[in-house]
Amino acid sequence: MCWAVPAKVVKIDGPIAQVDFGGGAYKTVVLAADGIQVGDIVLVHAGAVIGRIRREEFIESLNFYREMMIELATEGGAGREEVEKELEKQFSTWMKWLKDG
Amino acid sequence: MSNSMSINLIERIFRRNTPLAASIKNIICKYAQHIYESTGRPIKIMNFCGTHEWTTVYYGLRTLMPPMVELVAGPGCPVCITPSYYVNRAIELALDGITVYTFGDAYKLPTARPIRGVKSLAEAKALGGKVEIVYGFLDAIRKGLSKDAVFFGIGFETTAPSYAVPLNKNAVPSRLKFLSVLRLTPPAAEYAIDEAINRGLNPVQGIIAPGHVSTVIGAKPWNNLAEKYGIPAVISGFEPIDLLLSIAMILKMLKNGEKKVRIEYTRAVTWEGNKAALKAVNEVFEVRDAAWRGLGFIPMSGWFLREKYAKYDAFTEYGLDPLTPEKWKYDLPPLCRCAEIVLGVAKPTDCQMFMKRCTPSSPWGPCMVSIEGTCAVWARFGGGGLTEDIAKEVGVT
Ligand code: SF4
Repeated sequence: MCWAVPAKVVKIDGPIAQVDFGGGAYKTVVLAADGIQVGDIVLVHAGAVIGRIRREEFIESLNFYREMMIELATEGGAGREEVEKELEKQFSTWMKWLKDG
Repeated sequence: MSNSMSINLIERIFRRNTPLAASIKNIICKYAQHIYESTGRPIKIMNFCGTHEWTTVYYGLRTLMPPMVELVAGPGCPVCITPSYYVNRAIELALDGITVYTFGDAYKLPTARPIRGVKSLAEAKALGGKVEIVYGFLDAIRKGLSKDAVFFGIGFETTAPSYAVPLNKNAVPSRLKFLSVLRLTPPAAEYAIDEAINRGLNPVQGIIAPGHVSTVIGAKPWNNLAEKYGIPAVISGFEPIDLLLSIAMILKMLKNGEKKVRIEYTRAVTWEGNKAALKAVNEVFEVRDAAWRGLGFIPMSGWFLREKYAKYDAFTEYGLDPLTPEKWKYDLPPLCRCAEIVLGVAKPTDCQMFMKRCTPSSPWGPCMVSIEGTCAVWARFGGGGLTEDIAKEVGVT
């Protein structure tokens, strides 16, 4: 009941939208957020779009994570290089997903 | 979940993120030690979201904490705190031939005492009552055009927009009524913090605020709370790394004497929240004192339909008595300790019914029903030994 699932908006018709949860799992939902467009990545909860996961912010937050992690890791005594390599692997998957739209 | 599945999962998370998890863990230990040395008491951090508790238990995050850091679960599960009184009213409507639409979790929710011989909507259905499980309000709207029906509207701020937008847009058929049991999380957070103080327990010193509730309400309400109690709060995402990071952020603020709210879950949460959803919610609902299961009335903690929407209100339409503080009775089944569990002052394993008379397949109390109920989470995934071993093996103890 607290959980919202990310999905991609494929069609908008007034206050109603079609979303794709991935793998062709489509659902008709209520649009409960402003400024949503086809192609946006949104959070869906109980059949309503409650917010957008903004791409730029998502990317910014990835950078924030990266910085925070590196700071934490080095402060915590872990090798900087190893941390950066690990992060790169993890974040490239996310970036790919974001860029794929 | 089988043991081998859980091992795979934990391994995947920790192996992939070993340096990250290890470094955050080190920071957590360092800051916690520092704080403990100056205050001399354990650091109690409370989460207010069943999904955060899920992540905490599923990934064994408690086993990664130093002994002076105590992670406790708060009242963050709408199914757990929906008063028995309202479930009873829904059961009566279903037995009287009115179709009751509800979520799968509320369907199984047991009441404190049987009413007309049944203890849940599921049992009412078995007796011939009309109950249908739906994915959301929109599904009920689409089905509810030709029959007298009620939507059993439980939930927190996350769920409120799914009700408010169709009502606000006049998209709900007049035969479909709405029984609002919507609740607000910040007043319950205050209640839980006050309870720890009133009971003379170690006070809550940091808050992991709910990510998706905050997608709707924004960070502001948590800021008021942080200021009022002089404690830091972090709005967290749901990955294990999100939670570890949020805990580290709370400890860092505690160490530096900062009493702020910070957003860790920046990819989905803003300071102001979802303005369009809030506007619709405030137009449709008004905030009043409301009952929480096992706890009683909490000031300004419930959303009720405004007068303007009275024709949809199941209470006025079906002449149901509203619940008042005078009428409220302690509403947990005998021996169930959910009230203490949602306040973070008892653990599921403190309850003598846990995994004996009360299991996920046959829940005795409300915290065992929803996947986000603390007892159900603990029952499904346990915690402790296994995760600890694996964490050790992959070098993050
Ligand atoms: S184990 Fe069952 S009876 Fe005990 S507190 Fe949890 S839900 Fe209630």
